[in-house]
Amino acid sequence: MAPKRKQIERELVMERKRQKRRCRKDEKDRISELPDCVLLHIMSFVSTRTAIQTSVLSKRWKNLCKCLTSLTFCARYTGDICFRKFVSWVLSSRDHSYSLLNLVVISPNESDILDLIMKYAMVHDVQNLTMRIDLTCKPAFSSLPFIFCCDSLTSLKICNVYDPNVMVIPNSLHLPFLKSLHLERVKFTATTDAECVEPFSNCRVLESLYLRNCSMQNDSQALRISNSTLFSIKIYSYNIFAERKAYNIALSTPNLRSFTIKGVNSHQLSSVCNLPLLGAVSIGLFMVKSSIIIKLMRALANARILTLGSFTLQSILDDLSNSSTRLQPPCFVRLESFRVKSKLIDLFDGQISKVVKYLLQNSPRARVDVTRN
Amino acid sequence: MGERGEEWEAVMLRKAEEEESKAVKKVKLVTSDGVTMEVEISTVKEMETIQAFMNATDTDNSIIFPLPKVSSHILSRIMELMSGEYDQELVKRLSHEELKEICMVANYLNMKTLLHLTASAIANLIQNKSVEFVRHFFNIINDFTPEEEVQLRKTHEWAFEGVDED
Repeated sequence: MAPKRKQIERELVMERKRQKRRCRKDEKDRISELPDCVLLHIMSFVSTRTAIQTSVLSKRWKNLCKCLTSLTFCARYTGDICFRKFVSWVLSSRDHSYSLLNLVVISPNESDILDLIMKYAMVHDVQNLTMRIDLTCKPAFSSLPFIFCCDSLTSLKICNVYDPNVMVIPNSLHLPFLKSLHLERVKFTATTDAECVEPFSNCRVLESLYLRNCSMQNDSQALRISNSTLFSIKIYSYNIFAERKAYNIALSTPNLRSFTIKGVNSHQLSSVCNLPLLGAVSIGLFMVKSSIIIKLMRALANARILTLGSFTLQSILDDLSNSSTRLQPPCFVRLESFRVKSKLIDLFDGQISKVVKYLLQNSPRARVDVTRN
Repeated sequence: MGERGEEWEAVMLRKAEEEESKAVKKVKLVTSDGVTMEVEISTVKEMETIQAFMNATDTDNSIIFPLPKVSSHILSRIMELMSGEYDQELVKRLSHEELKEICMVANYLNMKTLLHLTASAIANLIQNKSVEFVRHFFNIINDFTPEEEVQLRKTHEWAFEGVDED
């Protein structure tokens, strides 16, 4: 230990000499003359760890990192003891007169540390929260219910990596100011006798919803999404292994503007209203039957721009020859543009126009321009 | 035809307005090295410090605004960035000195978009770098005694795990 310390001291002396030389060249330390808010602005783009290192730069910088409004706790490449010290120093030293706007927590190994961070975040009115959880066993994660009724949150992103049972979303989320919700590999649950799971209806100002590889505790239940403010829904399902179960999705979203569904799962979609404001609809399903795709389109018939992935188009094409399973497509009343993404398979123009002709057979008034990219 | 005529009229009207505003509203910026740069009023809109001055003085034309902290080189770089709509690629082409200088000017002139852009570019350069690198990068004068610095490093030991050396 001692020689190492000596070496550091020697390096420091050298550094000082270098600095003196530089001063003589009349280079001023002008960056340190900038106001706190600018230096904090720069620091808001670096990791919290790098921001804390700046406290060693000079006296001017010593206490700046206590005023950060964005915190990132990343436990990757860090020992547990080190991470624990890091977290507890930040939480105990932070100047609480600065509000906590953004908090990102990545891969904590110990659930009690995660709890510590979350409790701090809740008490200090965090606005944007992102968590990446890769705990493999169900943790004693006691702060979870508090996150789901936190009234300061405007955006919440939870990426669960391994076991969906670690992250079970309660019956109803009470997040009154939440505008953006992003959930990955979580499990939705409801009381056993309920027909549907309706977790988002108490998020009264929710605008955008992103679900990726989410599953249901009970597959016979439907996932109901009823929010009058919601304008964007994205559903991605690539659960090709353990959790490959499709479920029914029931929309009650009168202001929905865009809807995207991608992946390998045959979720069924229904809607209470005809989605009068629907603009862009994107369907990128593969290994999904044509009948499922047509049923999806029936719920989304008010789309103005319809984008299909090449696999989706291919599976419609494949089923065209089989008249017994062929379904009547809906009447697309407002469709203006039909787009095909043919990045993965090369489709001939003739094949595309065949599918377009089939899909638009009940939409005599649609004047649609077809583009491919 | 009627519609077309109206459209054409609107276009001409807009052009005439533009011409008019061009003719009247120019701002002269005088840089630290004595160069006078004439810029359009729309350019100055983003420079809130100058805008506030103009609102307060309420003059209508030929305003001369001295910029004792801004060199002509840096000002022309800023004009390039503004006309390129703050393209990230343009920012990448700046030297480190230019980048720091522009960040300071953005603060001085209170240009929000430019400040945001340069702050994030600077942050990318110092992310995960050693204290020595950052000091050198910013020309920061270390006013800690060696003992103080060693002590400070010791209390934040956990923050210095796995730092890039340059």
